[in-house]
Amino acid sequence: MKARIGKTVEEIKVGDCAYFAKTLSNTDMLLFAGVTGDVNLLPINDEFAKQTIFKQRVAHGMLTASFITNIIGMRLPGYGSTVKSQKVKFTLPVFIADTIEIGLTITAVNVAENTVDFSVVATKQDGKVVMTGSGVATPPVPLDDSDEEQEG
Amino acid sequence: MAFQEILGKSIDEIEVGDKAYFAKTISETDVYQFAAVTGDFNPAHVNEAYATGTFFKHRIAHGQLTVSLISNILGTQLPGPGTIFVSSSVTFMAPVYIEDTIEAVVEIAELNREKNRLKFKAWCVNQKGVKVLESEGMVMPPKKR
Repeated sequence: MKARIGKTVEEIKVGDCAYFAKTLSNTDMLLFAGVTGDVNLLPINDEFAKQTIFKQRVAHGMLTASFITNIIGMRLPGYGSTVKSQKVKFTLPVFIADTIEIGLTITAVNVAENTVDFSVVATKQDGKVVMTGSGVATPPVPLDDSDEEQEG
Repeated sequence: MAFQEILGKSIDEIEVGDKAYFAKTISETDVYQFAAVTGDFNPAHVNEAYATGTFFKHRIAHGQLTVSLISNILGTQLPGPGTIFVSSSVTFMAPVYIEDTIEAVVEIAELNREKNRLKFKAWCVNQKGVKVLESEGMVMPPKKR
């Protein structure tokens, strides 16, 4: 099978950006709770959540953080990338039916180490920032038979 | 319903050095459901034919999936239900393959009782004892009435 891979480290420049946006559904929250086993009441129990300052269920912070991997793995650098390290800070709660846009910007390129540094900002539909972060990713290395092509 | 009895530990019930554990075998279903939720269909995670030709030789789990097992401990055991995640950082050290069994550990590192915030250290180890990631972060434990 001919492998399509994302951008190699030589093809990435400081300032390159990529975005992913998604409306968060109840299904996403329940699947995330099932996969991770994180059945904290705040994301899964309406009656409990009503009694908190949030007044409704709040998405797992790690679910919002997980959308970073979408950009790394699908867009920038894209197919074949891996995340080496990542930091996130949650600044506001995310609720069911919120639409979250993650913007990722390349802040440094290290060709010798085959790594790129990135910063991320997640905003919701009203423009408010819900999460900020940064990290280091390893772009794909071309395989012998790979056909370099960015999949979007 | 007051739910007070199923709330996790308040900050006054937690000490530095307290630990909690969770272990799970990472299934193909987990990886594919995680891909579906995040939209990350990187072939490194969902394409065995591609993965065979890479350094890793097989499909690997999303790093973010493994680190989310730490969120499980924080949200269900220590501090437990009602906990709010503030921030975290993670370094991935080794790949996690489908069918690997991962044990996550959370240890309380620092308490700020005035601000109701605590810092934790966490790590994940596979069935061979290899550390696959290290993490640290901050959470707000539930407040009890």
